[in-house]
Amino acid sequence: MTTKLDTELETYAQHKEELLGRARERFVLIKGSTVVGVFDSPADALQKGYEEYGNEPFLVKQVLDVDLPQNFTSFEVALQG
Amino acid sequence: MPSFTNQIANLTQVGPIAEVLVGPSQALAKALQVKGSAVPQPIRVTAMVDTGASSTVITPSVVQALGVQPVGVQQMSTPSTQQPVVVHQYDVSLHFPNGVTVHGARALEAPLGGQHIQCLIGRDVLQHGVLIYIGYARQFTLSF
Repeated sequence: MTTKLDTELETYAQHKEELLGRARERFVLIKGSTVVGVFDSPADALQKGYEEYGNEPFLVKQVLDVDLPQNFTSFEVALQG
Repeated sequence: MPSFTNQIANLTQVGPIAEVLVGPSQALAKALQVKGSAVPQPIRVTAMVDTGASSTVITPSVVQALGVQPVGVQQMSTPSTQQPVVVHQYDVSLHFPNGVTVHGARALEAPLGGQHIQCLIGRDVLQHGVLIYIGYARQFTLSF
């Protein structure tokens, strides 16, 4: 699926091993092809993102070995895939 | 602890729903004010409390009306998906009745099958509060 954050996700993938080495379980802020910084909480990463970029797309992501999906057991969500 | 109680005549059929204002997170609103940029105004939606949802969800139409941009992505697994689907994530505030507000909820963007709701309140929000569901009285209470 194409997202507004494909470039940021690609950047994350390129830096993932390095980030796991120095920032496992912390939160990375990425804009475009730039790793802006690593933070202790998502709130801190969002704060920095808003200060730098305002209401523009950017990626805040926890640095994890494996990303687990969010689970929905009810039929309210009408996604297909 | 601020709380609100909703009494719904056909609670079993429509579920625990509430009128909620979805707005930009406090952090985004403050940053935009500092920059002198317009702050998106909250919009009114019908939300359902869903203990079967691990995350809060808002529909694409809510995202479009609110005018906020994604700050993350997540994979979603639902009964109708064969494999997880990647969706956008937004940083929003949720304003419930009676002044009950949750700042900085991370809502996923996805269509909702039930046409009467535009938002699911998931366990990411419920983890901060108390949900009391009194079925025989057809009411529920949410406190934060």
